Amino acid sequence: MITAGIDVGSATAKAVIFLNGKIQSHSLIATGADSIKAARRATDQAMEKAAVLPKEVDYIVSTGYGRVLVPFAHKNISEISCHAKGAVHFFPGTRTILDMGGQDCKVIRCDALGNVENFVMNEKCAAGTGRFMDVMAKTLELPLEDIGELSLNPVGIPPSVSSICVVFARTEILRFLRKGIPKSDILAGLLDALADRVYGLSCRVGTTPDFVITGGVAKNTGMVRRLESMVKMTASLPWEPQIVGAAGAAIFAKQILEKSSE
Amino acid sequence: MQQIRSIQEMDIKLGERFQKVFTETWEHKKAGGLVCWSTSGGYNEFLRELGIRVVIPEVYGMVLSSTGMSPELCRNTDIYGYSPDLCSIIRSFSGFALSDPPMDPSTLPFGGFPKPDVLFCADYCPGLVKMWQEFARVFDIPMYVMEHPWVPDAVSADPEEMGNKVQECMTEFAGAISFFENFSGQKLAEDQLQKIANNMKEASVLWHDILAMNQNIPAPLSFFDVANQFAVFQFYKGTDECVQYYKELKAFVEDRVANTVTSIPEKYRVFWFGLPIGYRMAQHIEKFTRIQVQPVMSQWACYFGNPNMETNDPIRGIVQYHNLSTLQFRGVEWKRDYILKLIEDYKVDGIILEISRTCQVINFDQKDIAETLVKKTGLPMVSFEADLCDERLYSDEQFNNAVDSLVEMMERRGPGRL
Amino acid sequence: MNELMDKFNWVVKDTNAYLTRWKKQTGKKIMGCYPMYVPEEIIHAAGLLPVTIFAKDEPVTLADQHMHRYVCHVVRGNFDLSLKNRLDYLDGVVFTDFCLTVRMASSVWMVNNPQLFYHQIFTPQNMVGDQTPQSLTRQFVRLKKALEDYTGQEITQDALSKSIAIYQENRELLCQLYKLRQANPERFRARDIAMVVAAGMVMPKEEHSTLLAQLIEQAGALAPQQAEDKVRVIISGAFCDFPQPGLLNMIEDTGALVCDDDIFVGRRLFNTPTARDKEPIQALVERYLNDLPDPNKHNPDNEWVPYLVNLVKETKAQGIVMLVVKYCEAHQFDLPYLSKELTAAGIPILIIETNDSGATEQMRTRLQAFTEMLISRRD
Ligand code: SF4
Ligand code: SF4
Repeated sequence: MITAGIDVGSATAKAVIFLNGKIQSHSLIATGADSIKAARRATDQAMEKAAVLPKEVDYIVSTGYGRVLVPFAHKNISEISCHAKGAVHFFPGTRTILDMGGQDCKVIRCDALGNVENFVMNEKCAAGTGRFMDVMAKTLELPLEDIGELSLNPVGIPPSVSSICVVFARTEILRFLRKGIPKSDILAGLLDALADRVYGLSCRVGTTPDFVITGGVAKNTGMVRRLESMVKMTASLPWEPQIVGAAGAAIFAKQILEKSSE
Repeated sequence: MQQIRSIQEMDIKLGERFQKVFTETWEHKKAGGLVCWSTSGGYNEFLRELGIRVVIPEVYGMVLSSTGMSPELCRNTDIYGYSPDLCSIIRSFSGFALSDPPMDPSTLPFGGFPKPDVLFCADYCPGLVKMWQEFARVFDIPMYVMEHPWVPDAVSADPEEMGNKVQECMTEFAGAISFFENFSGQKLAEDQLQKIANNMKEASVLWHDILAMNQNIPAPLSFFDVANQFAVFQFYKGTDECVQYYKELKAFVEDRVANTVTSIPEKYRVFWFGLPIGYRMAQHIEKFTRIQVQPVMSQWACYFGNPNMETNDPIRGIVQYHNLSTLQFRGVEWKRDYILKLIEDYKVDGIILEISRTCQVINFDQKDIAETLVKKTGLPMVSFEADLCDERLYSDEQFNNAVDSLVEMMERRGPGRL
Repeated sequence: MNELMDKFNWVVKDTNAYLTRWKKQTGKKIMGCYPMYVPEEIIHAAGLLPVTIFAKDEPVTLADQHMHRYVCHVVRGNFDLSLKNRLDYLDGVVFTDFCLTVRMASSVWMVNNPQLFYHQIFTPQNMVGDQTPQSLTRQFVRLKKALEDYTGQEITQDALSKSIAIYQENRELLCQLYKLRQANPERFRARDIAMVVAAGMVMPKEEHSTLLAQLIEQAGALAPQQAEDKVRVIISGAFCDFPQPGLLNMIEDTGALVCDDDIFVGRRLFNTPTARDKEPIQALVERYLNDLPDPNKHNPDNEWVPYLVNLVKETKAQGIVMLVVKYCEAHQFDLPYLSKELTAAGIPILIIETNDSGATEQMRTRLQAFTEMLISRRD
């Protein structure tokens, strides 16, 4: 049985081909303006890598922000359920998932089977999202990949950042730059504040180990280290944190098929 | 010739009074005495006579704001599940009260305050009632809610209805007294209440006399001085000590008037429509000193005391004190007229509208009133958003821009044009 | 059934046209009832038509000049309509003061819409106060007198009793409708039910009851529908608001079946009866005192969580979707308590914050995840 999971996020589209209980292949592309096209392309790429033909795929589940727009999916499932399902596949002991994606940030608690028990999602606040990291990197004129590392090595005492609203963040950063504060210190201050926000969110559902971080921001070591020290446990990081949702979708597809053939 | 001098000596005296209250409250609690958490809307003055010490967490919230501790405490309530849209004063003190594990009070300004044995809430702000309900559940102690009806314009204009309203408040108040008499097992003597009412009246008259001295040019006090000095009311209302304090303050201010001493050099006088921002008070004073603009009055200063209260029936008098004069609990027209008169009496050149993001009690009709003020007086007005305690909702840039453009506008008109 | 639904929909969607026509035909006056708790029976007995003032689901524009955007969209929204001349059918407005925002909204209305008749009832918040019943009685009598002065006609006890009977009949019909819904929620869309209830808050109760009786008959005759793989939920919150129809649809589109509710345009309107055999004003006072809990009332003997737990049990629901109006202080302050205690009672709750910008994709994600969670819990 071959299944596919497609996660159409606001920034990236991901696809996973699932075969014999394993992730056979995956793809990751920028969503761009046309999310239907992106979904198609991501799926094609993943199928190509796995050397499967479209007609060989038995069931497709879509997820993510653009999940309802994917015309060739058999069913759509929310990214919250898919992340839980996917995370348990990567780490069977998963009980808490922190997903920091492009658009939003959520904390999910699940059981051993990856069924959601509780979740919270930030409302209209960009803290802990890829979008915020982008704004930060752009304003500081740094490559996105570097900001995490840099933030871990401040020169002096990081400034305290009161406003972590994207609206004000830019002016705040510029103000620090004008004052001549080194970029690493500004980053440290910002990430302290962001991690604090995300930590506040996670307190609402509670964090029980294993604690898994998924989504693009999981690649930001500065953020991950800070969160680890706040929740006082090490986080498990999937080898590709951005495809966890898509993997979960593919696993759901498999379970749906199995159930219907019972 | 203006002399510029701060009112530091009175501020030091104020700090001493504060420390005394908190120390005494702890001692009282440690000796087995009862402690009640109550609201700044009042009616709790008599509790002292029943051996119950009152703590007003809202006032403490202002202290937390000034000491910069609020953000950290608000974070505790974020985690507890309270939305950041909610009143940050309440979130500040609740961040301490509901902290888990409990915070060590000695790490807080004035050594914090002890847990309550009973809760008393006058219902003029929904947030307080809600938080008191949560305290009642968490601490598992009794709570008394007293209706605190507002007086909208239609009632202000109708003497008969006004009479009924006062009568109802009196019954409410009597109900509260008997609840606490039962709770404490003590009886309140008639003359005790009479004395409280007399003291409240006397302190009110003193306070409003002090405020009126700011009609002098230059004003002997800035609004920031006033904003601190009201605090004695909150903890000592109804006591001899309160009267004594405001007598001292009055003499002090009279002396300043006689010697034309002021706190902020006064090229322009402005009206501050809103609340003081504790965590930026020092910066604001500095800014205004630099640009020679003195905020001489605020509607907020007039929330305290009612010099017109009657004292022949103490229950009636105390109701008048809390429900009637208090500017905040009136309708739009009443408030507007009151503020118009303040603007006239205090001869201001401009208006600063401070919008307290999370206090609906204050901000709800502010915009509507402010519009009419500008229309009727033709004075320039600027506004900025802030919040009592949550610094995350305030921006220095916005404040500075607003004040600078006000100065430009006032300059164009020239000073003293009202 | 469709024809009836069309009528209800029209009345709600185009309230203005409906009421303007009604006014022309009857020559009678219309009294706006500010949400919520206005004792409409007294207005009805005065020969006026009590009509609930809803905010429409459209962006607030003109009201921004008078109110900060941190005011709840219920109060901002209906005030906005008044400024847009969309409530021109009103001859007056009766307010209660069950929440602080409404308490203050009345005077902003008066200043900006001076042509209307106004009356505000001071509704006590403290339900357990010794003098609560007396002071409320006085308030209701005061409203009666104000209306008598306004119309120039006495409101007799007889007229009051009649009005109470008319309102009570309507409530009982709604109860029947809800019974049908509980038994077979597949038959109804949550949005439709809300429309039916809301129409009754606009049109004369007599007319609404007639239509409602027909609707119940027709719905009762329908064959029960095949239950899909759905989970039963209750919508709670929105106790003074008309939730956006798009949001109600979204809740169900994600796989939930709304089997009952605890909202303003729903059970909260009719759950508590008014006694027909008591002195009328007394009966109305008692209705208020016995009414369902809401976060603005203080009543340790009638708290929200026990009520909700019971409702969930009775309706065999699997979870609660709680709609919270953004900037509604009292409700927001209750959220930690609600989540904590409902979770302790084993009832999953999803909190959705609403404002005038409508149903968003983020809401869909959370609603869908919630139903998925309920389904996996059930299976
Ligand atoms: S909302 Fe306003 S009145 Fe209520 S406690 Fe906060 S600051 Fe005070
Ligand atoms: S939503 Fe809340 S604040 Fe707004 S009117 Fe209703 S109860 Fe009052």
